[in-house]
Amino acid sequence: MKLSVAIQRYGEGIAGGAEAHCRALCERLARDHEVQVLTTCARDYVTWENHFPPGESAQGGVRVRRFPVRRPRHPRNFAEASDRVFGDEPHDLADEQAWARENGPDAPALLSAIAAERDADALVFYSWRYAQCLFGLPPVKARAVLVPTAEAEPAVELELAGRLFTQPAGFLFLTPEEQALVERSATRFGGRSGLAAVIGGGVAIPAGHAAVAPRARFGLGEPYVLYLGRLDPNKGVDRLLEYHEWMGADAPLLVLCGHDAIGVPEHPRRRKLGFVAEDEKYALLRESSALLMPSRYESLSLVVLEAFALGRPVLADAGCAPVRGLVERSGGGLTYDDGLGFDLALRRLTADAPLRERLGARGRAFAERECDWDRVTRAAEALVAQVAARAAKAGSAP
Amino acid sequence: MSADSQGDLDEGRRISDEIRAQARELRARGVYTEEDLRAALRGRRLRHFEQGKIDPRLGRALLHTSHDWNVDPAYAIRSHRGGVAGAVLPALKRLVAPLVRLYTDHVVLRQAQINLAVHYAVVDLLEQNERLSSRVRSLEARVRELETKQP
Repeated sequence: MKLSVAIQRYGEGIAGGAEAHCRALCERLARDHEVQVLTTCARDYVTWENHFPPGESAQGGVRVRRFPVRRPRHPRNFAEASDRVFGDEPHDLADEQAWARENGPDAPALLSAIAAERDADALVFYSWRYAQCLFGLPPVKARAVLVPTAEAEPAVELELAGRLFTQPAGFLFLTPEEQALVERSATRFGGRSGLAAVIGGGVAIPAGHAAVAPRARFGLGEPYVLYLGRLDPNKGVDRLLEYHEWMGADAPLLVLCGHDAIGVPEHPRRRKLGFVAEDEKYALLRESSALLMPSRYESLSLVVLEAFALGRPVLADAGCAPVRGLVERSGGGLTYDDGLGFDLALRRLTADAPLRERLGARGRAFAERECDWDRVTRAAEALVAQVAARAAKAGSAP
Repeated sequence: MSADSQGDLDEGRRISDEIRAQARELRARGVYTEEDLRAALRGRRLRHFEQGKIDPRLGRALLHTSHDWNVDPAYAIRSHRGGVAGAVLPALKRLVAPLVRLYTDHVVLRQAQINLAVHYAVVDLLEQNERLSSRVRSLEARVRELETKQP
């Protein structure tokens, strides 16, 4: 098959679950198919500033075509558009479209390139909330497969989202909970269109972490629980820090790794390590008592799958349906509803080593069974092939 | 270990549910966290807004950490008239506004300061009251528990 994949950002070193999923899938699909990625020159999803040079390159067997962002995101305009759409006053579809334009990325050449993809058997679109999906998908909907990466956020309730979900010829969902969310959003406009498959995500942990001794490297003299990811209120980190502080002086040591967007203050029971190398990250995870997942806005959590693969239990906020679903289906962890639940669950986990080992073993079994990239790739490939075949039969237009 | 059996797979869910039940039991016994107090305080303030028939938008703004709800001397200049008068009047109002504001700004800003001081004092009192109420509930629960243990 000849496949085109449209995504807001692409490339090595770009942090973001959707981007990592896209890259892993494209590189595997490229082993058997002709795959090109259509993307922007941006690296930062907040500003959309051009970072990479425009034009063609090859990465991991994938042809990558980058198009410049015409106008970076304007924070004030975006905030005003967001206030109109998510505020108390009534708004209409035009306001939502204005919000989508301000959200960006504003890359008209990318949209033109998508519309000009007449040779592609199918086009795969990542991340519904960005312009390449909202404005790029409708003109090629008969050959479009959407990977929505939808989270339970207010935007998914917009008319704009509901209408988009009635258009693609196929959907690739990351969890059954995400599929349910998208289907609820589309209900008001006649229901979700097309074929659908839940493909999940894969885990591929490089062996290099085995040579890293994280306790010695980072001076961690006692057992610890770990948070991996951006230190950002959108990821529930403010809530996590509060819950952990409320546990008092006998709280387990909390190790935080990732970009600190909120200026996390020092605390005697916390260690902030900032960015760590990939091998260090996996070594820290491997040696941790548990991974903490406080985010309520995820369509899938790759770091949870990585914890499962390394046999570590997960303690997750039950407010995120996809992550709660993963934890419950795998049997690889516990969930909590609030600060008191967090306190009780974390004390139970850290005090009971055999329980941690049992949960970890179940998580590992789940990762081996469900999180193999070859399985994910085959599932995605099967649905995309069906969409391509249907489009070819229907005359492939538009 | 037979990790594949459904019974084993359900252990995490079962323990999470047990912890939820334990949390409910602790609350019934009067154990409240900061989060519970905040939720109770929020609920109490929402009830006040509802009883006072306060504009729900203003109510939500009052619950927010920003001070967007407060009075602002930079009021919007508009005219309800149409035609030429509708275009000319706002322009004239804009022209004289700086002169008017010379006399009104300090009064409005003082009122805004008073609003903030009263707002914070009232919220603080409500919070202290909620804390004391929860402490009383906790002590009452403890007394009941001790009474039932007496021979």
